[in-house]
Amino acid sequence: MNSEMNYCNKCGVELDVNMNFCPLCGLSIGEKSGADELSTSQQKLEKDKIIDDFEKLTKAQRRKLFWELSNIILFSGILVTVTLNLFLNKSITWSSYSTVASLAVLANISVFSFWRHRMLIIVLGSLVSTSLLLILLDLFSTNVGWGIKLGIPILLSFYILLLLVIWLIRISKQRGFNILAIIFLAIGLFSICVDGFVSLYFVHQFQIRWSIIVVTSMIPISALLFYVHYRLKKGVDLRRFFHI
Amino acid sequence: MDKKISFWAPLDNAAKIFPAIRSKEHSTVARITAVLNERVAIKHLFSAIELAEKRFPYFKVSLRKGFFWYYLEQIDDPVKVTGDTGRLCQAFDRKDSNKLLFRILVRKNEISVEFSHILTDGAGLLQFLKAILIYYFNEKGMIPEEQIDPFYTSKANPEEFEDAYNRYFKEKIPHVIRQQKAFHLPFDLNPKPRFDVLLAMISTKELKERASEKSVSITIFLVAVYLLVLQDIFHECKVKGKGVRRKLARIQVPINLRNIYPTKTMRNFSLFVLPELDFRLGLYSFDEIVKIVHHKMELETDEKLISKIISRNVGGERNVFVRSIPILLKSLVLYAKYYAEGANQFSGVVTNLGNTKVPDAIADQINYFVITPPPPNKKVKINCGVIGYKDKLVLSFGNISNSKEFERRFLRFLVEQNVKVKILNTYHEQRDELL
Repeated sequence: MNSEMNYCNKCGVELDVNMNFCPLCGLSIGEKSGADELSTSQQKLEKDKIIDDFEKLTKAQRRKLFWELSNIILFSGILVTVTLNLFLNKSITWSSYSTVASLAVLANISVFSFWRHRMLIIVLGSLVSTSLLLILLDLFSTNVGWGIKLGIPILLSFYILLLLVIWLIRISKQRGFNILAIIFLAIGLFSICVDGFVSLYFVHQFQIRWSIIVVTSMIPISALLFYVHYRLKKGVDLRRFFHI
Repeated sequence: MDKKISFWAPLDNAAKIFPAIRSKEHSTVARITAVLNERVAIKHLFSAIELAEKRFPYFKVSLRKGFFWYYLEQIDDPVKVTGDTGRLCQAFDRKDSNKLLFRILVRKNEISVEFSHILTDGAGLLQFLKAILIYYFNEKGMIPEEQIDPFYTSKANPEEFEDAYNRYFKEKIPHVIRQQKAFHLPFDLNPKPRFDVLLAMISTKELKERASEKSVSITIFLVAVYLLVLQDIFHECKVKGKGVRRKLARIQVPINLRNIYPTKTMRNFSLFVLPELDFRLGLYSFDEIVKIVHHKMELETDEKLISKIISRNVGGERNVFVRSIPILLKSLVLYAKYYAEGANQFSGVVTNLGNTKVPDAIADQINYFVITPPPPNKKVKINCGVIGYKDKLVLSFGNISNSKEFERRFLRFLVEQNVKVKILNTYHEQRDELL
């Protein structure tokens, strides 16, 4: 800002005598607009950014600490159960369940700790680790293949619906009863998947039986919730919204 | 403003297409700049904007999505006044907390106003900018109150926000016959952001003299130059063996309907006249093109023909079937129709706001005006805005292609006609570059 000329160095507009900074760009008196010289406002922003980064770092450290503690607890658990199992049964039998369950929990904690902003990685990581858990549980127990034929399709449908619900929540501008309606609809769809996959596994046919009752009760509830949400939505006049 | 008593309005007939076709690049945002002789005194400008806000309350609206149609709803967001970084006619960010459809930009001695075409057309935009200028110079004590037109000091008239198309709609008008697709410039598009503007300043007097020699107006003269350049490029393509399927050049020339129908509306109220040249009929001389454009413009600005187009357009939106289509589907159809039909109807645009008048007391405070029409669509690629002030007429070529060949030929032709051309850059720092 040039004090003699009293104009902004960046925007070039004339400023009143009592103006200390340009209301357009925030540049204050005496400041140059060059990129090499940071303005006060920019410096303030940088400072804010550092503070912000520091806070983020602390949170990350906290998450890392939580992850490390989980590691210690779960691996200790695995170690204790395996040792006990070996000591009592002279071989690894029941402890394999607790081991794979602990490893699956650890995998879930890891994705949530390190990729908390990457929804897709969280969901995929969680899906893969839980699928592996189901397959291994199946393998250790009856080994009849329910893990792949029944467990994974149900799990997959659950995660797809979960992603869909999260996406819908994210894009909805006003959150309220509409979220509840979406969740109810997702439950209805999930029940169809469970019903269908169970029948496919047992009778080798995708049949929808009990889930139809769930869906028919979920649809009117969701419709009512959507209606209430948009009817009560602040600032929306239905006459305007539906003008034809 | 109390939301309960805030007014709302359906979009006017011309605005209905814009929400469906607007994008980051094809922003449908127009700009008019007033270049003053002195630096802008920001304090006075803020006071002027405050007065303009009160005078034109119907511009303080946001676009809302209804079930069947978009509509405008009054809001109380503050008017966005920012420094002008040189990126023109940027789209209004839908995620921005400020939902207004216009902004004011300032740089050195320039005041620019950018409006979404959803709100108003060039004439409405110019009126708004003129109001700001009058309030601004009044704040600076340069224009006494009694010299200000009562329009600027009175309260807003409800008629200013009417949809004048609807008012002048007539029933039972025959359909308009679909026209052949028009020739488009064979240039490649710029990488994003595509929009670039080239400004050329010429003497109004000189241009008027050249137009008078042909007994036509400046608009007709410029449209004829536009068609002549398109003809040159078309034939060059043919000689080079480039396949050019479309053999008709058509220029879209917006007509301010306020000059034909009495209305005070500040919203969109313009239509297009489409003078054309059929390249299949041979090579035209400039004089022949001038004659064709002149007669076509005379013919198509006839009140009855205008009435036919208004009725066709408004008839479409009044159709019960069209009305009952949900907005999502309607937008898809409008988008597809615009690119399949609308954009194919014309090869270029010449929009002339004419010679701008301001009160005598402030006439010497303004150097010149610039109009930048909304960025052209991907097919048309180039458009041209024209506005005059005293003896300074500024041509603004909006271009999203990577070629300046069209502008070069256009301005070269003017120079050959003994019209001096001065190129300005987008920051309006005159480079004194004479062609």
